[in-house]
Amino acid sequence: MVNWVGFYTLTKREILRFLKVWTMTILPTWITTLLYLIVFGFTIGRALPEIGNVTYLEFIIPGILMMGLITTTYANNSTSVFMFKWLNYIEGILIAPLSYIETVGAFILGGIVRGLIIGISVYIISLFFYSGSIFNPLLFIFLVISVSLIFASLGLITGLWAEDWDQLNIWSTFIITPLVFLGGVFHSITLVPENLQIITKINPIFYMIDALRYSMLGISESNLYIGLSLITILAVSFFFFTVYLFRIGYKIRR
Amino acid sequence: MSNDIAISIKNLAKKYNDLEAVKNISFDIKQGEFFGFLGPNGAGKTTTINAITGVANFDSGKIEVFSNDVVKDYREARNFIGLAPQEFNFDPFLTVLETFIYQGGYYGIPKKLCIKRAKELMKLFGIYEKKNSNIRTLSGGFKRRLIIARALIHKPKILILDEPTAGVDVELRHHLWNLLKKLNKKGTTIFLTTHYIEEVEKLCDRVCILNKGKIIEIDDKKQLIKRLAKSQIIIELKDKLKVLPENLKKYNSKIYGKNIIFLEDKVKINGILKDIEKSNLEIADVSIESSSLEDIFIDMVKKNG
Repeated sequence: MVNWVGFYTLTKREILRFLKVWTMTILPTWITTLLYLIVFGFTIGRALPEIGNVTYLEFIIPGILMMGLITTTYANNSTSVFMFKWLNYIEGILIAPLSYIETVGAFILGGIVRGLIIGISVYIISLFFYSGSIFNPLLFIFLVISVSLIFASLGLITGLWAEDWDQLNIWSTFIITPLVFLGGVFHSITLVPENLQIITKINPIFYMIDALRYSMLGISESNLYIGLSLITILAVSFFFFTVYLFRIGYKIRR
Repeated sequence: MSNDIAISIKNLAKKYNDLEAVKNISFDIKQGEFFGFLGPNGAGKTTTINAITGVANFDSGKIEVFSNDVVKDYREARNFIGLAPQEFNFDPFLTVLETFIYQGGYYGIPKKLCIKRAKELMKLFGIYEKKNSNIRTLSGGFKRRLIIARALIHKPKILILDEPTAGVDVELRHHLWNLLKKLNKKGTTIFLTTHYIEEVEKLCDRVCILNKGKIIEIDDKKQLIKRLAKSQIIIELKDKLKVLPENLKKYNSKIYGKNIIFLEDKVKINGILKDIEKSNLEIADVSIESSSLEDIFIDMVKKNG
C-alpha cells in the first residue's frame, strides 16, 4: 500500500524548503533571465540576423528558460539531499516506512515543482520581450516536467555521491554549465563550424533546448523524434537509477 | 517464529572495511520486555541498532521485527519501531512542533492527529512550552527529551533507545527512567543500550553484554547477577590474627590485620562461623559483600578483552 501521507509530507517539505528562501532559490533566476534577455536579446540581438524566421531575441528565450530549469532543478535536489546527509536528518527518512520510490518521487516532485515555477515565471518574464505564443503547449509542459525530472534525479545522485561542498559543486561547474552553454542556448547549430557540429550533436542538452524551442516557436534544428526519445529514456533511467541508489543506501546507510 | 518475539536477530554480521563491528550475533527480544544492551565503546551496540532500524546495511544474517524481515518487508518492520538515536539528528531549521509533524507524516500519520499526539508527548516530556522554539535554540536536555518523544509519535510497539541518558543531569535521568518504566508497563517493548550499569539494574528485565562485536553474556538480569556475582564474607575479629587456624584452611581466605576475608559463596557462612567458634576466635563484626552488575560487567569485558 502506498504511504500517501508520507509521500505528501516529504514532498511538501521539499517545496516549502525552497519557497521559504525564495530570494535565494527563485529570485536569482528571474534576475539572470532578465539580464540575459536585455543584454543578449534586446541589445546585441538587434544587430543579429533572424534565425529560422524568428528574431534572435525570440530564438534565445526557450534556451534561457531551459537553462534556468536545468540549473535550478539540479541545484535544488543536489543541495537538499546533501543537507539531509550533512546534518544527518536523513535518518528520519531511513527509519520511516517510506518506500524507495515514494522517497525519490517526493524529492523529485519537489524539484519538478521548482522547475515548473521557474519555467512558468521565466515564460511570464519573456512576455515583455515576445508575443508569448506557444506552438505546442502539451509538448512544452511535457518538456518542462521531463527535463526537470532528469536534472532533479541527477541532482539527487550528485547529492548522494558528494562528501563535501566542493564535490557538490564540481559537476555543475565542470559538466552541466558547459553543456548548457554549448547546447545552443544563445546560438544556432548552423553557426558552429561543420566539423565541430558533432560536439553539439552528442550533447543531450542540445536536444532538450531544441525540442523546447520547437514547442514554443515551431522551429527545430534536430530530429525531434531522437530528442524526445532521448529525453524519455534519460528521465526513466535516471529516476530508476536514483531509486536503486536509495534502495542500496548509497552513501546514506552506514 | 513465535508471535511473542518482537525482534529476532540471527547470525548478524557487519564489517566496516577491515573492522568487524558485529560478529555473527544472534538473540531474540520478547514482546513487552525491557531489554538492556550493555557494552563498552565500539562493542557493536549502535551498529546492531542501526541494522535493525534501517540506518545501516549489514553483510549477513537475518533480522525480523514481529516476523517481518527488515530488508524484504522493511515498511512493515519500520512501522513497529520508534528510534531515539544517541546522536541528535534533527533538522535544525524546524521548530519542535514541526519536528513531530514531519516525522509523524513520514509514518503516515495525518497532520491533525500528529499535532494532537505531539501535544500529549510534549506535555509528558516537559517540552510543551518549547513547542514553537527552533531546534537550534534548545539545550542538550531538551533535545534529549525531544528525541525520545519524537520516537513515540507513531505509537510504536518497540522503542529503541541508544544511550538515552547520555549527558543529561541526574534529575532528568530519573524523570526519563520513570517515563520509560511507565511505557514498558503499558506494553511497549524497550530495547536500551547504555553505558550506565545503574540504568540497566534499575530498568531492564534481561541483559545482553556485548564486547568487540560478540555476545559474551545474555540472560535474565537477576539470573545473571546470581550466576556471576561473587561474594566475600568478611569476619572482623576482636584481636589481630597472625596464623590461620588449621580448621579454616579449607576455605579460600586472606588475613588483613583483624579481618579474615573469605572469598566464598555467602551460603557457606554458617560453616565458617561454626569453624571460627571452634577455633576460639572472638568475632567483632560480620559482613557479606556481593559484586554488582557493574563488577560483573567489568570483569567479563576484561576477560574477553
